[in-house]
Amino acid sequence: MSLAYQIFATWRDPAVKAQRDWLFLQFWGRTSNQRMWWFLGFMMLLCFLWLLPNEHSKMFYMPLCFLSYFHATNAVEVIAALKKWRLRSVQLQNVMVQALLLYWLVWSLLGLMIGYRMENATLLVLLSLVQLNVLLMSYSVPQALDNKALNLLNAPMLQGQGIWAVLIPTFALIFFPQHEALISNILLAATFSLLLALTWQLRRFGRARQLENIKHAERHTNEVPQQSKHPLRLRLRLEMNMGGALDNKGLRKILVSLLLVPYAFILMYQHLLPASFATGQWGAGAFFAILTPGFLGLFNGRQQWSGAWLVRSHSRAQLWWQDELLFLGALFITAVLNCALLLLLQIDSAGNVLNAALLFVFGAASLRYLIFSVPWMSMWSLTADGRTTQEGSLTSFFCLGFLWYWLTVIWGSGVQSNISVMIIAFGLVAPILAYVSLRKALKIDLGAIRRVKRS
Amino acid sequence: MNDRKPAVLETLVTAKDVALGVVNCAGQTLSIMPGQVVGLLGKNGAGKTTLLDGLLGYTFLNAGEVTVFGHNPTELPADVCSQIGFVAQQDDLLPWLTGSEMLAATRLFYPNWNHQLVDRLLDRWSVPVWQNISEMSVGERQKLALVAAMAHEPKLLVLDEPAASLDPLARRALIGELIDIVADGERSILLSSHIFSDIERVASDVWLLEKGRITYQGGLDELKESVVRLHLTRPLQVNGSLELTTKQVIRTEVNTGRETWIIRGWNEALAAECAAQITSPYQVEALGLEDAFVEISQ
Repeated sequence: MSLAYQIFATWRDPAVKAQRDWLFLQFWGRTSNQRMWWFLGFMMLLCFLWLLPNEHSKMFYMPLCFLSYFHATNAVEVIAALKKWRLRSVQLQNVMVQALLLYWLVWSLLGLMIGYRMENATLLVLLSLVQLNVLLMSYSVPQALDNKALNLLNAPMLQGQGIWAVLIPTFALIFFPQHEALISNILLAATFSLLLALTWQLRRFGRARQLENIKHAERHTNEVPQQSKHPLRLRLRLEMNMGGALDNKGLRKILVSLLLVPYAFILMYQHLLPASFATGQWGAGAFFAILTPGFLGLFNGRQQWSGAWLVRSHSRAQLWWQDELLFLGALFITAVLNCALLLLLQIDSAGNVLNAALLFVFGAASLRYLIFSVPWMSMWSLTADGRTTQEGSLTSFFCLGFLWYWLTVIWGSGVQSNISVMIIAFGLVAPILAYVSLRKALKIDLGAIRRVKRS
Repeated sequence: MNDRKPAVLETLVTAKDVALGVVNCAGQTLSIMPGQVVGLLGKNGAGKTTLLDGLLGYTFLNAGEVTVFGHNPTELPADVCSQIGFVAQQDDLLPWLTGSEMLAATRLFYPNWNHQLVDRLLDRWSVPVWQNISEMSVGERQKLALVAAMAHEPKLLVLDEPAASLDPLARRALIGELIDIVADGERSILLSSHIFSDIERVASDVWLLEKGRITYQGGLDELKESVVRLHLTRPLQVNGSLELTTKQVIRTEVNTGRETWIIRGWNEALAAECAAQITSPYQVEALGLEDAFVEISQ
């Protein structure tokens, strides 16, 4: 009995239907919150697509592909969560293929809508390519998504490599529009190849040969205790100050938030926006503005203070000083490096780059210390006195949004004297707020931090 | 002056008039001496974790004074910190490290590290140290936190509900280790737990926390002996007054032909008074720690 016959013969089976529906739902998000956010994300993007003229459609290559990529990785996680290959069976294969077909149908409709609106078949192919690539990963090496730190096929690495499937074709389309026809044909060929590979992988689903992979993986797992090396004191200190691991995934996160996202943004913006938008005051300013939230988000060592108390540092002043030393050091290095890169890439004039860098340094420092000084604001759901509050995030968002608005108005005006006054104001406010945040930190409730911590 | 100094140094923890959060121990002094195992008992929300946070400097006191090894707990010198081990209810492990990396990282900050003890505990508790902490179960994380807190052989070990997530085998092993720790008479443990059998096995003293106040501070046996159920046959026949006994009654239960008095503060004087005055049949029931706690808390 062929696979296709089995799939359609069991379509109306109530047991299969229940499992299929559950899996289909999981593909769209593991929780109802996730599903809701994906839906809102799609809707927002579609609205933008409808509102903007067609000549700006290239702006959406990257966001659409990323949306597609991250959504597909969610499906991969679902497949990988089926206990590697062990619980896979021929019966489950039918359910899985049915759920994927449904998923595929919805994606195709979405793709058709986007393709129809943008009158751009390349984009449709690109979306399919991303989806197929990620799904193929899920069928080929699902155990790699479950077992971390075993070999090159581990999950973060795999997802990290998979992201090139999004970046390379979209960058190619953005930067070499004259070869669009050729690139589209290559993408089409790649899509067909991936489709064939995926069909082949589907037929191998649940076959006993794959069980050897599990034995192999478990043998590696047992060897890990001998392989694990003691972390260096400095690395551990950095990790505790930053509140996250400095492993491959952590370093990638730093690179993505400090380099990839802002530079991808600025390059796209220079290549894709009409000249009227791209000229003017925005170059380096937009770059550092994009950089700021990611940079601030990297330093959440305060959440680890309760664990460091009695072990790493024995006074709150020490904890504060160690965290802020790293923050300020990283702030300075990031500003200098990016200044040099922006000048090298000739993204903006030297004066603008310097202004933007100074604004970034003093602005980011002021923002951090402002949030850590005012009890009703919060960063990473943590207030200045160590308590958590949901309202804090909302009020912070509104206040900072307001501040952000005025900042962009002044920057956008391009009047050097106003910009200088703004930089000086931030420069004066930053040390004052730093002092206030230190005073707050000296009285911080470490017990409260520990009690609400979710590790 | 010279006479007083050794006495101050001997006391590991002293807390006077402590007030923070729900805890209000105005007029009360708590202390932990070397070799003492203190069990901290109290209902949910009584303030046990808050009190421990105050004693170890995690939270600032609203009022009162605490000294840990003679120092203010919010400004402990490094050498004093290395003499304290603490395991919180919610562990403070770094989720991105593996178990063995976590232990190696903790070891960096302590001059003293008992490798044999670590190996023995890891083996006995089957802690998967090669796994990422974020992937461990709650019980496995708790065991790892216990190993990390005990490995540097602290003089004062503070455990907040350490056995709550442990299986019975691991719990027994933990109690065995705690008994070994205090065997030399120099090291002390402050243990908060809801598992009364554990407290009974290991604790020498008890702090009973009720609605933020310490209502009993003293020996475990004395507490158990001081709370009794006095079963009386109705009608009650007495020669004279039971003034001393009735003053100590905290609750009564009346059934057909039988009456039970729950007495807190039972002692020889009360026993003698009952023997002398009550002529109808009666029976004194001694209580275990859990029953005593339940009767006191009702």
